[in-house]
Amino acid sequence: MKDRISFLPSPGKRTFSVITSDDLATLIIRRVIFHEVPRNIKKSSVRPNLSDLETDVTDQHKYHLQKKLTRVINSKYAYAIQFQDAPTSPLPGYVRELTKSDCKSESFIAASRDLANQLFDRQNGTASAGLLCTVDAVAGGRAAMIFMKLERENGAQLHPIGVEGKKTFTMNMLDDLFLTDGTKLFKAAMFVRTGKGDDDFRATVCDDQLNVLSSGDVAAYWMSFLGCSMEVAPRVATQRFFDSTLEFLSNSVADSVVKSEIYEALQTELRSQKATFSPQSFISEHVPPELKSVFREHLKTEGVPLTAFSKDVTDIKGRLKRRAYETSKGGFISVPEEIADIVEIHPNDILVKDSVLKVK
Amino acid sequence: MSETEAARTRWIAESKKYDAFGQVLVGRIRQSLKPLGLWFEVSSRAKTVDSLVKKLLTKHPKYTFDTLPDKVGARVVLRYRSDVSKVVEQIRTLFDSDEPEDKLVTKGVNWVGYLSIHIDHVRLRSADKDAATYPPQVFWAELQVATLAQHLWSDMSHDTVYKNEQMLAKLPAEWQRRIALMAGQIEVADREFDSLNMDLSKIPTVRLLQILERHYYSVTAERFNFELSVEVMESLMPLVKGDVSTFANKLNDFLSEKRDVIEQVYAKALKLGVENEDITSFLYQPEVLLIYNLLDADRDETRQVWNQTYPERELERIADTFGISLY
Repeated sequence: MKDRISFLPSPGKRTFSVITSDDLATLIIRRVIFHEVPRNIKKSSVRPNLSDLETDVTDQHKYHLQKKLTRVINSKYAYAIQFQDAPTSPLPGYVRELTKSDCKSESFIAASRDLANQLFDRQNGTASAGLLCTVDAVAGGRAAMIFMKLERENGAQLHPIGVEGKKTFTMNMLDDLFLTDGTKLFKAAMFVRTGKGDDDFRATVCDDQLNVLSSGDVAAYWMSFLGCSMEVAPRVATQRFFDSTLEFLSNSVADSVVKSEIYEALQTELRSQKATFSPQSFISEHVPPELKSVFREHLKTEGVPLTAFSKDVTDIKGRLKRRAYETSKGGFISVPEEIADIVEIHPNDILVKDSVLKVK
Repeated sequence: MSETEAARTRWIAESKKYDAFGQVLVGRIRQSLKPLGLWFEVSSRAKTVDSLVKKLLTKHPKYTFDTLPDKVGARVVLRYRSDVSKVVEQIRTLFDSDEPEDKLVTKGVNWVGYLSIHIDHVRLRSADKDAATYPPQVFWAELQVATLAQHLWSDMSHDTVYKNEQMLAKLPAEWQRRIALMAGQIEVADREFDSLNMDLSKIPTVRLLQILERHYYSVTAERFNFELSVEVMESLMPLVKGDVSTFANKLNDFLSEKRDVIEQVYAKALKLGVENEDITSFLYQPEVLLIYNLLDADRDETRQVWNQTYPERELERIADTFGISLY
């Protein structure tokens, strides 16, 4: 449970924001290096298989990497993250340093090797073996660092080749990771420097096992490796979305049927067992076309993330509850707990102090 | 050695440098016109040796090797006559030159024939970084700005009897009349193309396409398949919400804001090669910019509408190109 702490943001300075499609469209990959990170089995002497050299990548390979990255980092299930104040991982330090000025090959290789060891140490025995891919890039003219963990479907080990006595993974050996669907898990994080300060970054994390980040140890080790926390704490994000949606319904939706349908959907989605909540999916599935962009704008103005977040209804629990009344003649009344006083119960009748929107 | 023979020898030695000068002009003009977002072709050529000799023989003593105005000729061809003045204005901000010559003004309203704007002595400014290589006292070009229709006349008349008025005057009156009528017909077509283009903008899909074209041609000069554009745009119209004019203005704002991104996307795709299986076939179709806008606004709904008519794999390629995930 201690790793759950890493999902909570630290107070104070907050300049992080999510990686944009502009960042991804303009991405230029400069350097790539792969290290093999095996399963961390207790009492085993196995250690990561580290490359000594960068991997030589063609423009075609770079495009495949970019495509793969775009599909996860810009997905509905990508999360805005920020560096923790006192991370146990050296990754924030490396990212700050390597994006400060022109990233040198030696520093890049050394940092990536250390990080592969760090990732290995943080994984427990259940985390699958995989490859850590570290990328030095430029996005929209700004320095960027990317980290990806690729776990292979067949779990087969890859063997680096020797080039002048130094080990490296060649892109040919890794083609199946990018050109086929043989990659079963793909974790990624991207950081784009936006200014000179230590916290001037846009940063996003994603895991294509959609609910991993909120529920399991696997996500925790990846976040711990990144030395990051969610930019907005799940309970804050959940409450903000709930409140902002109610405000939108009150002020911007005139049609009472539409209003009621969106409200019901909001209640249902937030009460469901799903661990994550995607505002984009909610809008797509429950908001009528003519209101979509207005609603999106409203959420943006209110500072509500449009990226997915782990659902935590702690602060709105009471408002999601409903009080139900079953009558002796088979009637059924259900009202939100927080306005339960609109129902007045008398010895021979019940008064609901509300008006009828629709009859089902 | 005769003066003409000396000019021939000199031209054989120097024409490559004049050709390079022409390429400098072409590069500058191309870069400068791109932001106008209209289709154009720009080219230049240094005179061939025989053409230079012929010119000196026919124009002697008016011109000598040093004073010949068109040792380098450059041409900008556009679609619509209403764009000509914009282009001339833009080009004149780049170089020093004589005043543009508009034949309609110099020849009078009753005259018909090859209409284009001529600008003589187009040369680098003395403070230009390349002025030391191509001194403005020595290197200049004759520039023509013409529409496609005007260019048709110019191309068809090249090396024929009706190339210039002196030769035309020697033809029988009946033939002169036929040629004048043909030139008039071409001018009528030129005007009609322009006028129709303006009228067509009243059709919503065409109006949108005109906006898209403007942004498209600001990043590439590749001509596109108009039929496909209209077909795709019609299939996407359900995604255009509310009043088309308001949508068009918003689309224009979006594409202006994303100009840098669009430029980089095209530069990258070009580097990778357009024949690449990962590059969308729509890259050289202006509607790709509308799809970009729609995906940015609502990827799920766009996907839903797109999939009713077209393969999802193609939308994936477009989304990948613009850094958007469909998932």
